[in-house]
Amino acid sequence: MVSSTSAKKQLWTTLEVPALRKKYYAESLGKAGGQKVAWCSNGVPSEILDAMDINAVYVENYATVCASKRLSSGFCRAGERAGFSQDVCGYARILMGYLLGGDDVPEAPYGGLAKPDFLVVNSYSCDSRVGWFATMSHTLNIPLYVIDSPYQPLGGCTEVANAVYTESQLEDFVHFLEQQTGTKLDRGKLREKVELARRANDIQVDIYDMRKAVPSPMGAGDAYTVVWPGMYMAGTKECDEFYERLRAEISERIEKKIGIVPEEKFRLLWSGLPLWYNMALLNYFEDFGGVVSIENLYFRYEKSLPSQHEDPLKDMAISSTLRRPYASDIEQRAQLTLEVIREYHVDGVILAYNPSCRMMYILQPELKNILDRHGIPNLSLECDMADERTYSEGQIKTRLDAFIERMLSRRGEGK
Amino acid sequence: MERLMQVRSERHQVAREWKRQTGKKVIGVFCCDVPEELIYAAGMLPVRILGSHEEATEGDLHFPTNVCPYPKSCLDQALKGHYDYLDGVVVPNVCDMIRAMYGAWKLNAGIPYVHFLEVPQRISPHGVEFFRQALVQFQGLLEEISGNSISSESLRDAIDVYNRNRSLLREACELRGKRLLSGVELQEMVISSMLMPKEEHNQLMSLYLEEVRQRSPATDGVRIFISASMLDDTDFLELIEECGGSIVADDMPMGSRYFFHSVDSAEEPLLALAQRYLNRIPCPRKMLPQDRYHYIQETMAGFDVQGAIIHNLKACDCHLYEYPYLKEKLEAQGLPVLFFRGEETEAELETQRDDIEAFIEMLRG
Ligand code: SF4
Ligand code: SF4
Repeated sequence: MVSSTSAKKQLWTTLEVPALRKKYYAESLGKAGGQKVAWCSNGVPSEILDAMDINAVYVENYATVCASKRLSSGFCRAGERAGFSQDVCGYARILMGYLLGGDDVPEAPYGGLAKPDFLVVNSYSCDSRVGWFATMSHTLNIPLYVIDSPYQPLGGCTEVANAVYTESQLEDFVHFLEQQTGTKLDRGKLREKVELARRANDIQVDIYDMRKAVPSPMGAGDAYTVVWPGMYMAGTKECDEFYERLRAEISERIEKKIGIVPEEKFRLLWSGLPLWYNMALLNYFEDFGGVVSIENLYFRYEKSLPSQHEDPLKDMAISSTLRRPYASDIEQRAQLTLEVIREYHVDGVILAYNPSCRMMYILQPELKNILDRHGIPNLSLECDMADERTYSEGQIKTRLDAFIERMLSRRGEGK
Repeated sequence: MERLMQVRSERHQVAREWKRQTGKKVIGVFCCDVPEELIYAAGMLPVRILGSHEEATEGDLHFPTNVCPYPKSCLDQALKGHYDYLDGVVVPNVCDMIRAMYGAWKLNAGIPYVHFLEVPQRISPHGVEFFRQALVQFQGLLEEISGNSISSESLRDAIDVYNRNRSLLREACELRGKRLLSGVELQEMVISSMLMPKEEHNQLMSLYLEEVRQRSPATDGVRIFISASMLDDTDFLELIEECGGSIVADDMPMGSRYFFHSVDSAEEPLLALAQRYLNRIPCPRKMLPQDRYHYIQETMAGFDVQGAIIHNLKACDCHLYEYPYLKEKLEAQGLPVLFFRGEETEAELETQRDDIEAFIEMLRG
C-alpha cells in the first residue's frame, strides 16, 4: 500500500522489509498458544528470547506500524479515555487504546498481536516506557520484568561498575525467563545468536560508514525502514543476509555514483524521530535537490568487541554498556551530532521536536543552541511522531520551504 | 516557626551567610535520592535546589515548553545568578528532566563541580551493590571538593544527626495527623530542613514541637491526604487549608518521602545509605504502582482520611502513568480523588480554588 504519506524507497533491498515485517507479525500471531509470548520494549535483547523459544513482540514498533497506516488518532483517543494524559508518549497511548478497545478503535494492523504472558521493559531511554509497561501489566494482570540500564553520561560511573551491574541485570532476566517458561537457557544456542547479532551490527556499522559518500547512496527515506530487521530480528541468519544484500547494493550505488537526486545540492541530518504517519516528509527536499542523507536516532558507529568470555551474557553486558550517545546526555548527543555533520558533509539539520517523547524532546533546544553556536543551519519541527492530530501540513510545509530557500541560497554563496 | 519560614524564603542569603561565617562549602542537591549524609560528613552543607514561581525566561532558552516546570525553573534560577554560591551540584538519575539537569548545569550554570549520581531505576540486591559503588565514587569527589577525608566515624555521626531529624519530622507528622499541626507548617519544617545545617534544624524542631504538643487539636476541616509529584513551596497546601481542608497525611517528595524511613545505623555506613536511599525512597520512577500504593496506605493509616488530592506537574511521566492506577485503587477503598495536572503558577492557583472548594463541600457531605 504505497500511500502519498509513506516515504519513496530508492533501494531494492528496502522493499524486502514490509514482507519481512508482515511475516514476523504473522508468525508471532500464529505461534501464540505454542510458545510463551513476551511483549517487550525496545532495548530488550531479542537474542535471549529467541534462544529460549519465547515469542517476542516489540510493541513500540507495532505503534509505529499503526501510525504509518494512519490509525494513530483512533487508538490515541481510546488511550486518553483510559486516563492517559496527552502529555505522555504517543506509542503508549496507541497501545493502551489498542488494549482497551472501544467502538471507535480502528481495526488492528496485521490482525493484532499475540496475547502476552508477561512483559519486559528496558529502563534505559525514558520514564515513559517503565510507567507505560507497569500500566499494561496492571491492565492485563500479568508480570512485568524491568531490565535496568545505567544512564552512563560523560563522566558518569566507571565502565566496570556499569558492565558488572548490566550483567547482573541480564542474569536476573534469564532467571525470570527460566521461571516463566520452566526451561533452561542453552548458552551455546545463545552464543550462536550473539555471534549472528554481532555480524549484523558490524555490517550496519559499515553501511553507516558508506553513507558518508557523496552523493548519498541511501537517504533517511530508506534508512528508517532498513533499520527494522536489526532492531527486531537481531541474531537470525535472515537478518545478517538482509544487511549483506543491503551493503552490496549500497557499494554498487557508490561505485556508479547513484544518488537520491540527480544533482545533490544540499545534504541534511534528521535529528530525532521521524513522523511515522508522514514519512514522505523525508523526501520533501528532493524536488529541490536536497537529501536527508543521515539520521542519528538509531546510529551505530562502534563495531562489536571481539568475544572475551565463554559466557555470552558477559559479552552482551559489555557490548550493551557501549556508548548509546543519542539516548544519553546533551554533551554526548551534541558530540555525535557534530561528528556526523562533519563526516557526512551535512549542510543543515532538521530537529524533530516530539513533545510526547521526553528522551528526544527535552534536549533538542540545547542541541539547537550548540548548532547555532557552530553556525550550522537548523530547523525545529514540533509535532508528535505518532499522534497525527498534532500535525498541521500547511504550517510545516511553509517552514520547510523557507528552510530549503535558505539552504539553496547558502549553496549559491558557495558556503 | 518564623526562623524556619525565613530559611525557605531567604534561602540564598541564608546559605551565603553560612558560607561567610563558616568558610565552608555548599553543595546543591536535586531530589531525595542523594545521600546528604556524605556531603555533611565531608563538612559541607547540602541544600536542596528549588525553583521559583517567576517566569523561567532564562530556562526557556534551554528547554522546550512541554516539560516538567520544576527543573527548568531551577536552571532558570541558576542562570539568573541566584545559585552563584554553590561549590558543586549533584544530579541523581531520577527522571528524564532531572537527568537533563546534568548536561544543562555543566554547560550553562558555571558551577565548579556537577556530578551525576547513578541511582538504579529498579530495586534489587544487585542494584544496592551498584549504587554502593556509585557512592564510593561520589565520596571520593566530595573529599576532593572539601579537602577533608570522610571517615566512617564522621559518616556514622552524620547518619545519627540525620536520623534524629527524621524522627523529629515523623513526630511532627503524627502531630499533624492528630490535628495539632497544619499541613503548611509541616511542609515549612521539611523544606527548611533541606536548606540549613541539620543540628540547628534539630534544635529548632525540638523547641517547636514542645510548643505544638501543648496545643488543643483542631476539630473543623475535612481530613485530606495529598500526593504530589513536586511542590517546592507551600502555596498549594495553603490553598487547600484556606478552602477548609485539613491535611493529615501526605505522599510528597517535599514531605513524608523525604523522612519516612531512617538509615540503619547498625549496618556498615555506605551499605546502609545505599539500602535506605535505593529501597526506602518511594519514588514512582523506580517503584512500581502496586508498591507505591502500599506505601500510600502506610502513610494514610490511622488518620481517618476522607478524601485524596493528587497534584502532578505537567509532563511528569512517572507520576502521570501511575495516576490512573492510584485513582482506581483509592476510589475502590471509598476515597474520592481530586486530580490536578499543574504548572505551579500563580494564575493557576486561582483556577484551582473553585474545584477544591467544591471537592471539600462534597466531602463535608
Ligand atoms: S517517550 Fe520516546 S523513547 Fe520513550 S517510549 Fe516513547 S518514543 Fe520511545
Ligand atoms: S515532578 Fe516528575 S518530572 Fe518533575 S522533576 Fe519530579 S519526577 Fe521529574
